Amino acid sequence: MKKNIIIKNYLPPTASVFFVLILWQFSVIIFNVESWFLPSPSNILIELINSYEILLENSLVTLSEITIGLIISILISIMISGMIFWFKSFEKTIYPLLITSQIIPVFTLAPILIVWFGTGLFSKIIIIVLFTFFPLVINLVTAIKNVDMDMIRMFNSLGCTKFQMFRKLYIPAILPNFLSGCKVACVISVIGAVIGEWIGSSNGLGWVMKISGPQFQTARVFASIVCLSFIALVLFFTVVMLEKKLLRRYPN
Amino acid sequence: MIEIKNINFNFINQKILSDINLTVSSGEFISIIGPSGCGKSTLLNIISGITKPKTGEITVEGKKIAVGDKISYMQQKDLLLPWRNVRENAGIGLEIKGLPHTIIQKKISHLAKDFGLEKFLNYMPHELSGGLRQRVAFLRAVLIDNPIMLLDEPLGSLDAITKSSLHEWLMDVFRKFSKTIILVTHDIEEAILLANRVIVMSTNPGRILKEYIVDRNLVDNKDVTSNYFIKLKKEIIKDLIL
Repeated sequence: MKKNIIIKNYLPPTASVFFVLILWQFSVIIFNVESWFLPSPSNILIELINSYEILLENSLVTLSEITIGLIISILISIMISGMIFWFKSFEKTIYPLLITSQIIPVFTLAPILIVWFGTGLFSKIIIIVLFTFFPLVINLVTAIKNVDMDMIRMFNSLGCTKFQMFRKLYIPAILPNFLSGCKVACVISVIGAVIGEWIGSSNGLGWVMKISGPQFQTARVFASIVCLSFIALVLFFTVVMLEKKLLRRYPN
Repeated sequence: MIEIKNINFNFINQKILSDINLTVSSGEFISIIGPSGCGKSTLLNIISGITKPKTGEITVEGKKIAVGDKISYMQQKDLLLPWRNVRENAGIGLEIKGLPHTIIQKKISHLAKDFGLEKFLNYMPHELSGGLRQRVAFLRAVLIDNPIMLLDEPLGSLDAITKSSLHEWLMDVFRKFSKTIILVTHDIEEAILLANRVIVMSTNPGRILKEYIVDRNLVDNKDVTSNYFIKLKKEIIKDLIL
């Protein structure tokens, strides 16, 4: 029974990925496409094996930037939403700033951030934070506002303190939205990291892609993309696992 | 004894409640009935202390009380927290009062049978029927052990059959725990079946129109066709239509 469910759930997506890869492989062979123009999946696999040292080294750089950036982002979003819970007027104060931070494309800020903070780890972390804190904050603020008024009334009628209300009602009520925000943040943090590395860096997967492209090492660019996708997937599924554990008692 | 004195309440310049005066003796079960928008629920919010009136005051045994002290409030929705099981939901009020976990568990286990919930204590709310969920909400309110209970259409969302079975059970449970109860309802039959006094409210602004003493010796929990019952029902309907 369990085996059947696994087959039913995982077979279609696995099959579709394999189908695209096989189609890609045969198209490159049949149309005789040069590998500097479009490497075949097997070429990319060979590149992954041959350059594993450089890819692994730079993947770890990107991963560390992303991890630190995400942690800071999560902390900032928790702080902002906590302030919004405790001080209602704080929302009006912070909202214009939040929106402005998103209206300015972060991509255009990146060169300035490199000038201000150099090409090291710090500028990348700031770019990742700018990319990721918005979905986190928006999800949290929306969840705070959506807490059922009748539930709040019920807690009030029990004579609870604001701290008890936060701990026993708000935290569990906003947890699902917070984790959804984390999933989005995990995926876009990779984009932030690559943009930062692309604009000014001497390591990381974005940097590998930037220097490999002009040298027509297209297979290496694709291999870097594979590594980036892998990082995003690992982060995403880490949150999914966390979600399964933390939300196991929630309906649906 | 609860004394509700000269309560007035406005919402955005509109008068919602006007000069509400009501005295409820200890152990009394009163029903408040009235058309939608007459401010019944607002009155309960004011009695519970979570809404402040424009003028007037509420006293219990002659003293003003803090929110959550002496009064339990049960709203129409069961308001069970979906991430807590029946046991944890029932104990939330005691948890907020700071009682130790073991004592809370003891109290829950002690009362679960009376509420027909002993088999469901580890169930999650979404696994229960509407009637059972409402019983958990009752248990939560009763466990807090306040002498006064405010019930805002607690059976309003249930079907007629579940409702009628719960009426009987409710009477038994509340008699057993000898609570003072103020029930707000839309349902005239429910108001007469459960209470020993029915307060009829009018709308725009909400005020007390009339009150009826229900002779409990003449009302049978299951029989809504006795002459006494029908006569009382007709009079209340007349008041509500006027």
